[in-house]
Amino acid sequence: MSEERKGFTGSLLKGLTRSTVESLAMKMGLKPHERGWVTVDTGASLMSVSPKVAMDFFKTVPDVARLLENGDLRNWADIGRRIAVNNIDEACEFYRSSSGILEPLSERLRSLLIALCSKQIVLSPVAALTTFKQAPQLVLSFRDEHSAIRLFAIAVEVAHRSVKHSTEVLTAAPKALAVLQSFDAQAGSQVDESPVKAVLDLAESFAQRTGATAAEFLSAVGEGMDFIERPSDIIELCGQTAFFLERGGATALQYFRSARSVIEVGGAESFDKWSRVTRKVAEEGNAIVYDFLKMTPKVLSTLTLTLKRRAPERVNSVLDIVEELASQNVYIALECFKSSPRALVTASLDQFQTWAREGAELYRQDRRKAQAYYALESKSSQDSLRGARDGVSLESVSHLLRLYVEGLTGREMTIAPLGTIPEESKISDGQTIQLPSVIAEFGSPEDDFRLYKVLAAHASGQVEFGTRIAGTTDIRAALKEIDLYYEQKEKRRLAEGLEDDEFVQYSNIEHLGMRVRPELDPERLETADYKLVLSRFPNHLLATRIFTTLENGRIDWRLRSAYRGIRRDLDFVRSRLIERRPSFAQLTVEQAVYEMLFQITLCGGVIDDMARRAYGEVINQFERIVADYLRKDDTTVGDTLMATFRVYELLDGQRQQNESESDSSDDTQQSEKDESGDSSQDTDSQQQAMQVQRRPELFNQWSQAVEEVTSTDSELLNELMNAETSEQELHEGDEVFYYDEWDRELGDHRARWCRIIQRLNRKGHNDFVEQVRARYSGVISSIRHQFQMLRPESLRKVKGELDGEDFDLQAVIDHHVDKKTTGRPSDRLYIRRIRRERDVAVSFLLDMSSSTARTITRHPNQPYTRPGQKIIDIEKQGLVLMSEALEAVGDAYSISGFTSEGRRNVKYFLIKRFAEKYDHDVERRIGGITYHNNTRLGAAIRHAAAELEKQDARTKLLIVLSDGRPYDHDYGDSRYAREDTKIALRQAKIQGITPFCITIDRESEAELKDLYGEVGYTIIDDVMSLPERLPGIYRRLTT
Amino acid sequence: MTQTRSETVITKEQSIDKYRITREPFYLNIKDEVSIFETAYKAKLPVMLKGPTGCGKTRFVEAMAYRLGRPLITIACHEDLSATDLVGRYLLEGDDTVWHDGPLTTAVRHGAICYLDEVVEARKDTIVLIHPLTDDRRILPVEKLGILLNAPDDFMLVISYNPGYQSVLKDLKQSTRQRFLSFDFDYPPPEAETQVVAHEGGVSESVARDLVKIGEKVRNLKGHGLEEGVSTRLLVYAAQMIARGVDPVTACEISIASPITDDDELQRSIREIVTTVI
Repeated sequence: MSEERKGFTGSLLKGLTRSTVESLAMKMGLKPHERGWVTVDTGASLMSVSPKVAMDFFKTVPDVARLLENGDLRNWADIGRRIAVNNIDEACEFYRSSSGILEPLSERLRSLLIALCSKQIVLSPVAALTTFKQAPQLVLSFRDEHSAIRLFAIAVEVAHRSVKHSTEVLTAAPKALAVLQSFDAQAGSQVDESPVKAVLDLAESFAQRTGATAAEFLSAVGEGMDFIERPSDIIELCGQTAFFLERGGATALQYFRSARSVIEVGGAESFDKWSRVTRKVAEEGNAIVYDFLKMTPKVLSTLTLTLKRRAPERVNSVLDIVEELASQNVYIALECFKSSPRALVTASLDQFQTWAREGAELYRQDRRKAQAYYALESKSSQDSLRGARDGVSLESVSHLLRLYVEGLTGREMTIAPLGTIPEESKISDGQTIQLPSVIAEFGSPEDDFRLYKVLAAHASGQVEFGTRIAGTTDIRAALKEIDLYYEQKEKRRLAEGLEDDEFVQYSNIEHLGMRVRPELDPERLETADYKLVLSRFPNHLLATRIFTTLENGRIDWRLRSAYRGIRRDLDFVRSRLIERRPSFAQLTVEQAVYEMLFQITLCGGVIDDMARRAYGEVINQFERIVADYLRKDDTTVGDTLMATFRVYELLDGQRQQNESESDSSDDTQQSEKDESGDSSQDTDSQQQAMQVQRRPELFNQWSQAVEEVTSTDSELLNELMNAETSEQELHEGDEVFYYDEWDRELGDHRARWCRIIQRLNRKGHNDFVEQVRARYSGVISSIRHQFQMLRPESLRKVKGELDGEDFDLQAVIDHHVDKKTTGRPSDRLYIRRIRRERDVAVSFLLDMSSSTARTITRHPNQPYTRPGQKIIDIEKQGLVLMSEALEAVGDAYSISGFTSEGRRNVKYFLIKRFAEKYDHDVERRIGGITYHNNTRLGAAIRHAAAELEKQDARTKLLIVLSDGRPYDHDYGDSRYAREDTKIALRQAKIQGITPFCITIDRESEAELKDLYGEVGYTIIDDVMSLPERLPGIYRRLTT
Repeated sequence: MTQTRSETVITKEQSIDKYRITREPFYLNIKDEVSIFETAYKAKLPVMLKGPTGCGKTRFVEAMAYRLGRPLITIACHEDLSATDLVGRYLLEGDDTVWHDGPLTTAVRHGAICYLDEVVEARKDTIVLIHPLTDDRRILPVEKLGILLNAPDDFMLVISYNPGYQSVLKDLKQSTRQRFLSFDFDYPPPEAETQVVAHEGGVSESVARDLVKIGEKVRNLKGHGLEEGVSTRLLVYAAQMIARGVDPVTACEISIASPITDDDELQRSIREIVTTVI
């Protein structure tokens, strides 16, 4: 048989002599039978592709054959053959490099590699070739044989489904393993329970289940796990993930990712809570659990942005509440979780908790209500959240505080809650005062308000006493002195020797011997402010911190001397601050120093005797500095800067001493860490320290605000809030207003539910108005005449008054006659002039929805010769006539139109404003009126009423021109829309506005009556007659 | 006919003495308005005083009248003030028809200083009446008596108005405005205002200084919710209340926060400002 084969192949190998083939076969060595078959087979087919490749094949075969089993050898040969079909050169390369690549691998790995490549080659020769070439490197990067074998096995498993992902498994793995390495080191001996094993087990399960997700899982691991503390947590996490694998690879992957973010934000404790919630949610079905998982990272990242420093702690509390709710109902727990970032922007945790529990109560009654409640849509929900149960919310006092600081400073100021400042005002310009969104420190609203007042007074003190002032002589003097000092110090150090540790630490440079302090730009000297000066300190963070405290002290002092009354509040807050100062025993040296500084500047001296004994000298020096620079009535920010300089140097000297005494050189690092507020000490004392830090922070926030705000903050929030309704982009010049909407079923307003976009109407051609004028010229002149008659004469004579400007001659005669005859004359002898003014302001609100595009004709049988008109055009004509009439009578009037595309996009087009004259622009805007979209009548009425209310007129009239019932795609059913409109009209009436609706919908009298019944309305049967009739209706209404 | 009528008509002239100012009013010269006013008086030119309410316009006129030794006739203008009200009218007294001089006529007859307070409040047809008095003619036609009164050299017309709060409709017409010299008044600078408040309110200088500081802060709110800042007059009221033993915070409440606005929040912020200062 062997001979036969040989002969057969020999005839195929046309270019080769028989002897060559034979000798090659001989060379193949040990087991000529099987291998011979493979070789000759492949060799033969390779010959048909390219003799060159075949040659390389034959040359390599002997070496490779030693390394591979029979099956693998066949596969290996086959891989090369398939490559050759595509690219001859690469095939040559493959064969030539094969033995070199396979040689160093273990037997098992070789086999797996060949298996993987032969899977890959079927779909992608390129991928196979790459895998093959990179195999040695990959194996090296997998650290140990065991992991490598497992990973290759996983890749092979994945390759069954997706070649692409099998490659990705291998490329993602090294990073993941590197991440896990550190944990393995910790895990030590318990190898069978190592995180690596857990992850690989899980990856394998992923691979078996869905393939593709295994790669994603590994790359997710590779993104970093360093926030996980114990190796066992990873094992736990993997175990949990495996549980979700039964619900599908995507769900499990999402679970893993979300869990990661939970642990990252809140630590192991949060993870426990969160996974309990997740399991609970999972009982409700796959869709909802996926939803929950997906939302988790987003919610958490927003939550951390809102909560800032104490995030882990507070995330935990949020999860507590969510878990509590989940035990009652999963859906509301989810809603609550979802809106937690939004709620916590304004509410304290306690408020949030109460709010959440109240919602659960509500749920027992009405599920829909509860959902709206948790989405913070309903007014009662917002009220309940804000509920003045404990603390004072900034929202409730911000207007008051704004007026207060504007009064004190005489400048335009804005009050913003901490952390929610929009991008533009990020530069702390002294215009925006950031205050905590809730203050619940003292237990009574009055006292809490006093803290607000003190904070606001401090902020306005900064304006009044020039914290942010720039370019004054004393700032420049301070700048020069400080800069010169450090300049020289640096020079000295450079000269003295470069190994100075401290210098290296301060200046953060690797390359010594270079100048590190950038030259001071002389141009900036002119506009030097405290920030520039602080940036000239070697450690500007430290300087900033000292400066902030000292400047607060200066402002405090100046406030006290300038305003007698605020002393009471300052003293009050000070006394409360003093009560809560930490004991010095609990503080590190570094903290103690700041604490002393804080107490000296803001609490009127160090309160702790123990501290005095321990740090007597430092305290004395501090006190001297403060007394030297800050305890005068005309101090400026320059004085604070000089004081900062002194304190800085003092601390610097102190530290050097400490260092030389006690070799602990990580003091600076410690302070740096403290700066960012995450000092990692024992949790107990840390928590206490945090609580301690909070109060000074309230004062110190202003100088740190700039660094703290992240841009994604508001965007993320918005995204969360308005996930379900898209807001259209605003055009330039648009104004936005928000209005509540009445929800019939809720029996409550949905707060800030509709967004009104107000813009000027597009200008059309003024031909339209000209044409209407021409067509109705007769009508117009008679209307004008009628309306001019309405215009009252400014003075009217009233006869027979008791007092007046002139005698009523007839009355005087009567008087005399009466006197002579009856002796009882009337005293009413005078004429008086009484002013009578017509005092009317009217708003026309035009429905511009697409239903007004309907064509109305009087001659339905002659559509071409007498085509009829669109309703909107008839309405426009009516407006032209109406304007003529109103110009004649002289009433103040405005015209606007509206359409809507969902609740966030209610467009309100201004056609003529009250203050505007009826000029060409207005005419062109009337011409530009056209129809689009829907009719969200309630919102439009609310806005029109709000605008009308600003008018100063005795009679305020709102005339709504509508063609039918209100409708919008998210405006509920027709009853909902009707109820909302009704409430809107009712509110307008309460505001002192007389609404009147003119409608041309004849279809449903009953509905109309329900809708407009409370206010006046009229139905125009003959739509074509609207233009002529409109002025008549108006006249009737106003006389 | 004319004959008979003149027999029955009795003309009643108002006694001028009651218009004389006997005690010197307190007025603190801020810039040089006193001497300029005197010059204007000598030049027989009418004067217009512009400024927010309660900043001392009326007091200034009183002080000047005293300095110049002229009686002062003040007319508070209002919407229904008619020409008759200014010039005079016939009244029936028993069987007689008696002519009563109006305040303006009285002022012209006696060479007094006539002060039309808040002149924009008067009707336009009324304001026109003063036109012939304000140019070099210096005459007052009394139509009902059929006479022309020539104003003596002592006579002076002073009007005041507050450009701030009245509506556009009540702006003074150019034809009227351009007949007057115009003095711009404002709240006095803090030092001066402190003196005024201390003197008028009878309080110590430190109390007065606090009140002035409050005033200054509250005036910052003008335009941010307040139509008009708190007037010196109100500060003096507060001082007077304090001088009579009312608690300062309460005094400020009733004489500053509450009078100038009805807005609760605004009142509250003013209260906070008050408690910040006092």
